[in-house]
Amino acid sequence: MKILLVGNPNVGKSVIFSRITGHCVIASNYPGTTVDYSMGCIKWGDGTADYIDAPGTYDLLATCKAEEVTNDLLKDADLVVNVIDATNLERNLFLTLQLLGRKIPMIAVLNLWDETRHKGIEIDVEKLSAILGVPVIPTIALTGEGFDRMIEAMKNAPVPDRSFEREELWPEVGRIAAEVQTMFHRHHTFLDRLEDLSIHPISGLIFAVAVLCSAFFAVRFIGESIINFITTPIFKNYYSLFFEPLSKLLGGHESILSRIILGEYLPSQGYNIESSMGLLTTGVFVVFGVVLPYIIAFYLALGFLEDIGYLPRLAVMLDNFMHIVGLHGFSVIPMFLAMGCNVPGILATRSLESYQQRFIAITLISIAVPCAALQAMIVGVLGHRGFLYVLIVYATLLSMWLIIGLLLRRYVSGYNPELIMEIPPYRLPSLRSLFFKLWLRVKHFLIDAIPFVLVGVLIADLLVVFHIIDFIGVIFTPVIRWAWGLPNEAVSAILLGFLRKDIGVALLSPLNLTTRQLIVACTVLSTFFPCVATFAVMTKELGIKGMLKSVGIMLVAAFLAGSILNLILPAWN
Amino acid sequence: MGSKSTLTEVKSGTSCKVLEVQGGRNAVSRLEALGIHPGVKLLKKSQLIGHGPVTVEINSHQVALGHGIAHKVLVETL
Repeated sequence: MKILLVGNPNVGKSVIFSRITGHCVIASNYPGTTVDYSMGCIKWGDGTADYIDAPGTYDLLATCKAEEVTNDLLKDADLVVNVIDATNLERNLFLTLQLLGRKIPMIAVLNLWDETRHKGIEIDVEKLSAILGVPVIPTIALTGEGFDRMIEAMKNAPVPDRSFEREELWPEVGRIAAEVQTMFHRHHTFLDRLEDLSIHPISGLIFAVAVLCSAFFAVRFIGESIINFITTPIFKNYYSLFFEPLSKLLGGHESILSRIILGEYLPSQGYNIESSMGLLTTGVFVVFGVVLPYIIAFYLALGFLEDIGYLPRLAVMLDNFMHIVGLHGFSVIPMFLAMGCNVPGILATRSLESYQQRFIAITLISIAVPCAALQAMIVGVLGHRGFLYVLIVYATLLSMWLIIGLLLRRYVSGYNPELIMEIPPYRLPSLRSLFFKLWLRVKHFLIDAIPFVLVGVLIADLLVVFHIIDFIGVIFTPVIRWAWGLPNEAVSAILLGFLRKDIGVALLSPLNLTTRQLIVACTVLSTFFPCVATFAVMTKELGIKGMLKSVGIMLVAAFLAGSILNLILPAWN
Repeated sequence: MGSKSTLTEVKSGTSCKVLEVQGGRNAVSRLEALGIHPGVKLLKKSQLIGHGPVTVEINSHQVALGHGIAHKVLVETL
């Protein structure tokens, strides 16, 4: 038994899905949050049924990859739950009427029912149900209102008996809306005015700059506060007390076991959580002490912008700018998501219409958009030497983004469609769902990060303990030493950056690099090669050929960027 | 009845009726699915400077269109 949730983007399918299955998926306020399907199990009669949250679609004529996914899912669905945005009946019915023609047992739910009142809309549910020939249930997904009736209706869903030619769709939608919907005049609210202001050519630009600056400072402020007041005191005052006793237990400072678990003992300062490179010292500190605070800060800010509905407006404001690199405004959203983690960023490019656009967006993300973990580490190792140096890394990444984008636009040929995007209304975010989403993302980060960071530290230690690194270092001397001006030991950082970028940067800190070397190394690590998770998703999304092309561009770009920085930057000791 | 023009030519704040949507099959069906099809009434909300995107309101919901595609939507002002 396969039950499929189908509806326009951004009507609340994912919220319904999470509530019904207890299976947690990310929901936001912009079209295209779900680009792949999620599946959960629910009790169904005596057995169970698969409950599937399909990517949102406006039309059963698929025009992008996310919509194709939904079309494929429909082919073997046994029951369709069509989720309709009750505040936007006309546009949603366009899809509903097409779904009726598929002759799959079906019910419809009118979600966001509570918002119809604020919007001055009244819908005659019974009449609508009679016209469509399927049960129609009003719901409020955020609170779960109407869900009992929805589940009851699912058990006796009828097979629809109406179908329409494409030309008949809009006229029929118009007739139905006129019959079941009454609209009352309502006054403009504060949010309406804010909506107008944020897409206005001048005030919209000022607003965008203000939003981006506030987001940036909020992330810095929250991240640093967590580090200064919570994680650093815990690590310095309590956690590090256990190092000495543990070291004795493991057979002293020089034993191999102690060398791997606690790392290098420095006569002057004992074990250093930042640079000793042990599993329990640097390994744990990188995850919880440096990266986690910024992950929390970043996703809190992103979640807020997502749920209030600002991202699509930012996409409009930056549409012109994105044309420089052969993309359109929507690609701002994948770029933003990628600043948290490249993987969801790359998946979000599925809402772009053509392969060419997706290739450009994915290549730009994997080269020049650093993830939150990487950014946290760059700020961590470079920030205390001076903010200017961090700025140089960011400026280099931005220039690379622009230059590579310009070249790609010129040389990647193909179909390049323009922005066509629904802009959702502003909604005040519910704190509960905001923190729930933050928790999902933090959990995801911890599950992903901990094993990889620990394995990375372990490999790095083994390479040093068994002197393998000296050997590899010699092979890469021409690039590492001659072109980038880095010591041979930096090779382990750059190679292990493949596991996770944050661990790559962490491996730089015991090397006593000069500031120029650190800037070069951070830039190279950001651009050089995607981490393994990104690499896997790139291959899946672009195919092997596309991935190889993208990686080729990446290697050349990183090599040039590192070499140029090494040539032009002053030595700064 | 107003004159015939493209969506990029009318001023922001103007109500218009769509007469024709030109352009590729893909673009036409995407616009159609978002409610922009011949006969529909819409309000142009804004247009960004320098060949910027156009935002329109249909049934109190907003849709943004790239400049090139907005240029292919023929409307008459109401």
